[in-house]
Amino acid sequence: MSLLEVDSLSIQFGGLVALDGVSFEVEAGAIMGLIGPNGAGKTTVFNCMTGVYVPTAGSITFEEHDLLQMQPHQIIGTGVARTFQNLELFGSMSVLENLLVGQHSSMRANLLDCLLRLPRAVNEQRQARDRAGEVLEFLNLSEHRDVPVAGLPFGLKKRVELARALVSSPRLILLDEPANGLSHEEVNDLIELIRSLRDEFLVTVLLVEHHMGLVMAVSDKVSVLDFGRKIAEGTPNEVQQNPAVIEAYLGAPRAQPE
Amino acid sequence: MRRALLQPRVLWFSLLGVVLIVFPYAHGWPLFDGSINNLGFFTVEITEFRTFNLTMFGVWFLVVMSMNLLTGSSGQISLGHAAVVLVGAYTTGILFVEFGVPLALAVIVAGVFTGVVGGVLIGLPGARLAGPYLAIATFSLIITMPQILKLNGIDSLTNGALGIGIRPVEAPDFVNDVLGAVTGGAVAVDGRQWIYYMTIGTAVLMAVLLWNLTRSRIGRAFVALRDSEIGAEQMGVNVPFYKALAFGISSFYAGIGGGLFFVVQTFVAPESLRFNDSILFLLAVVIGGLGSILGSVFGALFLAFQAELISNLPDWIPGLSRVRDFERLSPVIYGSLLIVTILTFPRGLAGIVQSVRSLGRGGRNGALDLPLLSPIRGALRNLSAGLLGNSDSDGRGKKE
Repeated sequence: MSLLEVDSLSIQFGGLVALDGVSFEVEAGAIMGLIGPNGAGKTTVFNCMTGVYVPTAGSITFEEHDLLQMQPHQIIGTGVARTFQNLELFGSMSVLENLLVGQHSSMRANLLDCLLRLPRAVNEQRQARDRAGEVLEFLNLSEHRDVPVAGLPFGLKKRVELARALVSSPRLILLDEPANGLSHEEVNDLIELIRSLRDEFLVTVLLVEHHMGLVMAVSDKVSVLDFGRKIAEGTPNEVQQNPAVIEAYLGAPRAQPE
Repeated sequence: MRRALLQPRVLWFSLLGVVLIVFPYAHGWPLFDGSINNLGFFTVEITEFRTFNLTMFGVWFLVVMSMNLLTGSSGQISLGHAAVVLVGAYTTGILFVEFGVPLALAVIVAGVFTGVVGGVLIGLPGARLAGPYLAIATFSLIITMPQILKLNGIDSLTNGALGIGIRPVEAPDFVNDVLGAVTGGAVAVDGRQWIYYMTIGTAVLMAVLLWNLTRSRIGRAFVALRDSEIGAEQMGVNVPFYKALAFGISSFYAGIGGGLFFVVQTFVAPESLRFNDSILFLLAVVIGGLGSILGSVFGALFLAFQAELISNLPDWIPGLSRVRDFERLSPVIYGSLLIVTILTFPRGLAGIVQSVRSLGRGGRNGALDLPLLSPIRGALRNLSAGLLGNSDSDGRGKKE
């Protein structure tokens, strides 16, 4: 059984069919790319998985969890963490504090613990800081630990978001356009980084991306969406040769006169 | 450990503690009775009234902390906080007068009751309402509260429009017995001093609790949902629950503040706190500094001394004394103060202090725009730019 199974997922916004029976599977330990032209429904898949949208039909199963039966805030507890296309960081907080919020769901201190600083709150806070420190170290963010996030440059903000998702020790991480707005060198670093997510952190990666170089370099498998339908799936090579994919990106060749 | 005791912060807090403890007795000392010019250019005179003044500061400190947790930290704007404070004051009064509950216990029970009422009846439904809609809903709360308190069915408890009054509190006998035995009869606590200590003590204790809370997972969840609701939700914060929790804790603080308000004033009536006061609370939070305890201190100082400040203005600003009914212009002054604060130092007086301190350390000036305020700032910028015919009217209110 696959780690993640998305089965005939459909969602409509008014008259617009954003997803139309999309199915795919992600194997544990894989890096999977989800690509498609603008408006194909890639981010919508993420939003259905994490409870932001409620799909009209279909099912999403992560391990034994039926994600569609869960409240949005419960998703991260099952081991699925995500980043956002348009950053959703906590701007007034420091980098470290952002990573502490990232561990909110695994912390247990109740109101009394927090008000009185009882041992439970103090201990788990110390552990959370240590954990955040490790992730910051790994992502080369240690020097920015105590800086308010709102003042950081865009590339660093993206890395902080990745750190915030990673700090919850997810088994599946959803990256929404991680290469968006990055320079050429930064993309090369990102390729290494995504590989090490899997190899060192043992995280399965599902990636929505427009940067073809990145997707083709890191993905084991690529799924292609167009107008809410899955039109192709396979290895990066297979997908690049697929006529339906070429048509979706470049348009159909004009019909030859008989 | 010994080095920790010598930290400037510890020294300052100790000094502040000593000042707060001896303050109610200072009016009797020759240094402060106004007979000598002890600062060279300015005569410091501490009258007995100042003890009452500072007691009210303690009450307002609790109220502003309450407001600051709600609006500053969790980003929910309430225009009806005066109503929540009234609930605390009335609950204390009813428990004491009708049910004979000891005053100290009555205040605590009133705090818990107000917290539950605020969290469940206002916070839970309010969690579904975004910014301005919550403000409107809470606005209706303060408008209807006096009428609710005057309802015929419950006027046997609330005493209708007349309100509830008690005799001023006296210090318990055992306190004076002990003090007398220890100091050989040199020191005694009268009722006014006793209530001062109780109020300031409660305020300091609850400030410490709030300080702890803001540095815990719960306090961070409040700020997180203010900065990015969807981000917080996806990180595992149950947003509606935490919004209601913020309202509940805030109401608890407001309830304790209201209870002490009643004890200090010895009286509460349906119109004791009105819509105006709600606005003043909000103003105090913004001027003091959103989301920090220091900001609440400044906000409470503002509330405690604003009336006196306004009435003293004609002495300082020449020509103002010729304006008839000058005091009635106070809303204009408050409004201007609010606009100037939001435009020039959005993090309030506490923000100025923090900036100065970080400059002193050679650190970066962390003048952060609070996401909560930036839309308001943008709107005000556009307005002022329009009025001045200035073409530079880009709101600069965007988040990123």
